[in-house]
Amino acid sequence: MANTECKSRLRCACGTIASAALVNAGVIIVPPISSRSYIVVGGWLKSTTSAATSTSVDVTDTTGTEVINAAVAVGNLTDGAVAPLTASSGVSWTTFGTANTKGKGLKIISDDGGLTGTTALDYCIEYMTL
Amino acid sequence: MAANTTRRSRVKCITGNATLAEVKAGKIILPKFSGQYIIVGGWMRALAVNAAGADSINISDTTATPVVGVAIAVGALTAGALVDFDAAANVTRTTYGAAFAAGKGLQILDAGAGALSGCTSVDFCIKYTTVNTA
Repeated sequence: MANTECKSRLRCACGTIASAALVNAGVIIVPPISSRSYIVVGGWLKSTTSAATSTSVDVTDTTGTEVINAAVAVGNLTDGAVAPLTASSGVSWTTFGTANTKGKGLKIISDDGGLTGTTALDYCIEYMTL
Repeated sequence: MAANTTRRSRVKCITGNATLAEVKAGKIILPKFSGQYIIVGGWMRALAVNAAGADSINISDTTATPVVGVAIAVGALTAGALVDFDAAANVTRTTYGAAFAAGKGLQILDAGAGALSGCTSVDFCIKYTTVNTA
């Protein structure tokens, strides 16, 4: 990230996505605000019933072609296991700890629209706003 | 932390980047104020090249002999790999979830017999609370 610092209150978006179909469609968990950018800094996902088929479940922005913040491999999303976004394996980070484009929200979506297995996905995403 | 002591406060977060030279010199990331900082979480990652040379990269206070909050073993700071302060390995938590002395800031700096080398810079994210002391 650039050699600049961002200091802000830490916020958290928590909830449950009720089906794999919804994850495949993508669910906006933090709505866009035209004057704000979001910075994802941590959190976790938890699948009820193990996730399968897709490569990952991603936390992204809401651009048409989503910018990935963190991608959690489905192998980390075993039934009931909390899968931290900061795990030492099975997670890749792209725009993480750095600001998304202003005016974009945050979304959870499978990487390929083909997620199976998951009957519900709990999430807790820690983020800052600029 | 003192036994049976509960502190309740808003959690704040600072993210940023420190160059290799800045880490070696010690870069202040939170300014000193009259109260106290408490680190409650965060992560660090080396960029471009694996970190080497030093023993660890620490988040410490700004005392002349810095009080260590969290020390991340350099061996864990491979290029691009994010190391959580709560990780089970390669992280030593000393003043963590507990207050530093009043009137001190927080800094990122290397530690060990050798100087930090390798990585071009280090990203950091510090989750913290503050305690106002009268």
